[in-house]
Parts: sequence; structure tokens; C-alpha cells
Amino acid sequence: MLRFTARRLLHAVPLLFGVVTLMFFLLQLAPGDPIQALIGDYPATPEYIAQVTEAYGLDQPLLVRYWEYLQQIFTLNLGESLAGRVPVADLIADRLGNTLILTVTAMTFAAIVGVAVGVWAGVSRSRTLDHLVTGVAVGSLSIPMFWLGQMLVLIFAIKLSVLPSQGMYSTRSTAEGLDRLPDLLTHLLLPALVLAMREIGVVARIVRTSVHDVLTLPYVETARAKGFSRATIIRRHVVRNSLLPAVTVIGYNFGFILAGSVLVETVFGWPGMGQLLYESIRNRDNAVTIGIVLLIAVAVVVVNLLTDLVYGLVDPRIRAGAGAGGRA
Amino acid sequence: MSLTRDVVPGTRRWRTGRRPPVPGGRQAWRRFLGHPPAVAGLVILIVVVLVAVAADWIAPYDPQAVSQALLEPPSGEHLLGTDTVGRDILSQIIHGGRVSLIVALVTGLGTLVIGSLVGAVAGFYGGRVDAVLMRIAEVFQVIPSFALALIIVAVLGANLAYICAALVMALWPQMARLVRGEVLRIMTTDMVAAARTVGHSNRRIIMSDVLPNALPPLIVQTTIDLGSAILLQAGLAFLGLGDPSNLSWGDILQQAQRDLSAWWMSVPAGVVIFLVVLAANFVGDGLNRALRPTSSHL
Repeated sequence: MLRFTARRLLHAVPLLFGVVTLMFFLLQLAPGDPIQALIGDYPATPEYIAQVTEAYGLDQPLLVRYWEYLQQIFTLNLGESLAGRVPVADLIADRLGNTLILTVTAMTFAAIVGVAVGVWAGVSRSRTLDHLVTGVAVGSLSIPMFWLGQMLVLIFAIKLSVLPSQGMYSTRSTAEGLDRLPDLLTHLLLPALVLAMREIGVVARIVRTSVHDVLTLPYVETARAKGFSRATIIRRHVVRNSLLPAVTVIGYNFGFILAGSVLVETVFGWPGMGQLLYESIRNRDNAVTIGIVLLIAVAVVVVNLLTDLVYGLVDPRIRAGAGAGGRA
Repeated sequence: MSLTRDVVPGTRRWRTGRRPPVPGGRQAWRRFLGHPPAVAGLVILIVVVLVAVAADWIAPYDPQAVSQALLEPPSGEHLLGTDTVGRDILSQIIHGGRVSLIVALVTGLGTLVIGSLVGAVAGFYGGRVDAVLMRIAEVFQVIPSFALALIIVAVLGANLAYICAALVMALWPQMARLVRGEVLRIMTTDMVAAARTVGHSNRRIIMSDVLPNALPPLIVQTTIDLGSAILLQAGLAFLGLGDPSNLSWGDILQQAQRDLSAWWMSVPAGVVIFLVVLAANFVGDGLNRALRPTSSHL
């Protein structure tokens, strides 16, 4: 397990390095004069321009700036926002928690509903159910996620007025501490559902297929021969072995969920990182925009790594395969 | 003249003139037609393309023309109502289709070209070239495609060329991986071994053995990429990263977000996006069944 972990880590480090490099060169491609962008549209004396140039190291050659950028990033210094000169890292840290509440809820939702529907479809062998699962899966991959959110707001908030449409807590609420939980949950329901929609379809299809496959394996036959009831076989032997691919898929799709939360937060006015990103795009605040995307990329690398490790821990076959020189 | 003619009569027509028909081309077409969702998808795509091409004649109003009718629900005068500055929604949707389709086509072609090139080189040469290229692809792939496209457009600026470039950047790694896998598979076949034995050049092997056999999955992937491009572009426009001089379906949905109770703004534009992307996925699945009958599909 130690060697497996080390190998996966060694794989992740250059990947992170590559992502940071990509972001650096993207920043260099930004049109316009970076000095002008820093000063703004004010007439400035040549002395002041020289001062700013030196302060930000813009007169240094590209490689020197790259080296400094790397140092900055690895000390978690993401620069300052254009508006108010607040450190980008602080801005993001303020919002990260809210985004995690939304994304983790959505992932849990996707796991539970996706596995339940997938097992049901796999076990029942009903063609109608199969078609339904496939249809919903293809549909959820084709629907613009933010539009689905708009439609749910239109139905549940505007027409039926049973659920709130915007924000995380209602403004009139005076509750404190844990009493705010019900309020939070009602606000959470729609955005989390929208965010989970795509993954529910994906997970359900994968679980359905693996349930199909597991049901034909000899050990299921053996269990049946031993006289176990159908329910026991499904619970103990089939579901357990079908869970692994579901967990893996959700882990690897964490990036999609995180990126999707940008759109969903914008629709539902959820005060998270996505909304911050939306504002930074409107204000052309590149430091904030790049900081958030960098964080998303880093999160994807880390979660993929964790998924690999969990998979290796749970399923020894993966570890053995990687140890034998095969690349997973 | 007599030198170029083959000794065996009748083989000449395979060398010059028209290329031989793809074996099973007719069966493939029949398989495609035998799958109702694929046919429905194809019909939807054809209709959308025709409407986009004829937008100038079909649209009842100039999509950018403002009027006194502000935020009006559908009526006989404006079939799908008007937006906050009095522009006709139906005309915006008809013209917006042009933008979405252009972005999809350019992105699809760009992804096909770049992905095939990188994937073919990686698969054919293998070794260090392969390792480096696939590592680069992985860096692009680890950033969620929407986030990557978003950051490129946000930094460079929102015009159609940059939007297409950003979408290609977001979508090429998957295509490259697919092509690489296909090339690796084909390189180990007896067909290529035979071609090598006969002494064919690398170029000839790539052009006449590897590429034609790798084509079916590429076509399928490109169709799916068309749908992805439309979805990604709509998402970008929704966040305000649409080309302001070429309004698309996503821009209408961004407008709709300001006042969601004006359902006539959000419902039609979203339905159109959904239908077109669904159609692209159905056609992709139909092509998959038609061109690769033995592979697994939806």
C-alpha cells in the first residue's frame, strides 16, 4: 500500500505543476498592458509607472517571473483582488465553506439516489426501467444544468411558492445556531438537486451495469446454491461489489460538480465560490478568476488522488495491478 | 501508360478514379435508419441548420431591434414575447441558433484536427513522445472542461474566435486519448504488420491503414463534441462570457435570470438547447451503432 501511495503521489505532483504553469502562461496571454491594468485609466507620471513596474517585477524576464509566480503559489499567495486589494486567498476562504456545503450535499444525494435506482434497475431486469434509466441519464447529460435550475425556480418558487429561490438563509429569519438548519435545508434542496442530477444519471447507469455483471458471477450462483434468500444475496454480495464503481465515478466527477456549482450558485444566488467567480468575471478581476480555477484544478487532483487511494485500499486487485507495472 | 496499368485486368479501377465504396456503407446507413432516436435527432439537427441558414428570411423582427413593447408575454404580434428592452424573443432564438451552430461546428472541427494530430503522433511514435504528449493532455483534462473554457475566455476576451479556441482547448484531450488508443490498437494488427513487410512507408501506413480504420469512433466522438460545445458555450454566455455582437441562446437565458417570472424568456431558449444537444447525442449513438455494430452502446 505504501508503494502504491507513493506512486500515486509522484503522479499527482507534476500534474499540479503543469496546471500552475498553464495558468501562468494564460495570464501572460491576457490582452492589454498589465501595468495599465494595475494603475487603471488614470494619467500617470513616468516615474510612477517605473515604480509600479519594479514593484510587480514586470521588467523581469519571463522565466524569472515564472519562478516568482511558482514561489507565490506554493506559499498560497494568489495575489490581490483588483477591487479593494483584498488577498485573493482570503476572498476564496470566505466562500469555500458555502460551496462545500452545496457540493458535498449534491455528491451525497447523487450517491444515494444513483445507487438505489441503479440497483433497482439492475436487479429487476425490466426493460422499461432500463430504458427509463438510460433515458434520464442521456437527458441529464444533454440538459443545460443552469436552465434546469431556472425551471425549478420557476415552478417551485415562483408558481407554487413552496421553496425559496435565492440565497442560503431567508433574510427575515431571526433564528440562531442550529435552529437555522431547517431554513438552510429548504434553501439547499433545489440547488443540490440540480447539481446532483447529472451524477445521478451517470451513477445509476454504472451501478446498473455492474449489478448485471455481478449477478452472472459464479459466487452468486454458489450463494444461491447454499440457499441464501434473494434479498440476502443482493444485499451482501451484489450491492457491495457494485458500490465501488459508483464511489469511484463520484470521486472522479468531483471536478464536474465543482465547476457546475459556478453555474448553479449563479442561478440560486448561493453565496459561494461560484458567485465570487461570477463577480470577478464581470469586474475583469483576473487574479480572483485564476485563483478560483486554480483551486478547482488542485481540488480535482487531490480528490482524484484520494479516490485512487481509497480504491486501492478497498480493492486489492487495483494495488496489485499498479504494482505489476500497469498504469491505472 | 502501359507501365501504370496493372498486370491483372480489373484491379486498375481500385487505384484511379473514384475511391472504392466503404464496405458495408449501405448496411451502416440501414442500421442508422433502423434506430428511431437517431433518425429523430438527425431530423432535428437538419431543421435547426435550415432555420439558422435562413434566419434572415424567417425571423419576424431584427433580433437586436428594441421596441416599446417591454417584457411582454407571448401574443399574436410577438409569438414568444419580448425581453426587457423590447426585442422579439423568437427572432433572437432563430438568430441565436446561428451563433450556437457556428461555435459547435468550428469547435468540433478544431477538436477533431488537434486531437487526431496529437493522438496519432503519440500512438504512432510511442515511447517518450507519447509520455510527454499524454502528460500535457492530462494537465488540460484535470481542469474541468467548463472551468478551463471559462478561464480562457475570461482572460482573453469574449469574442467568437476566442470562445471556439477555448472550447477546443477544453475538449481536445479526450479526442487525443481516443485517437491514441485506436492507433495503438490498429498498429498491432496483422494488417499493419503486412504493410510493413511489403515495405510501405510510415506515411502510407498512417494514411491508408491507420486513419481509415480509426475513423468510426472519431466520427462518433465529434458528434458528441458538437453537443458538448453547445452546452459549454451556453454556460459561458449565461455567465456573461458571450460575444456581445453575436447573441446566442445562452445570452437569452442570462437575460431571463434577471426576472425568472418572465417564463417566455427562459423556457423556449432552454428547450431549444436541450433538444439540439439531445439530438446530437442521439445521432452520435446512432452512428456508433451503425459504424461499430459490435461495440457497446447506450
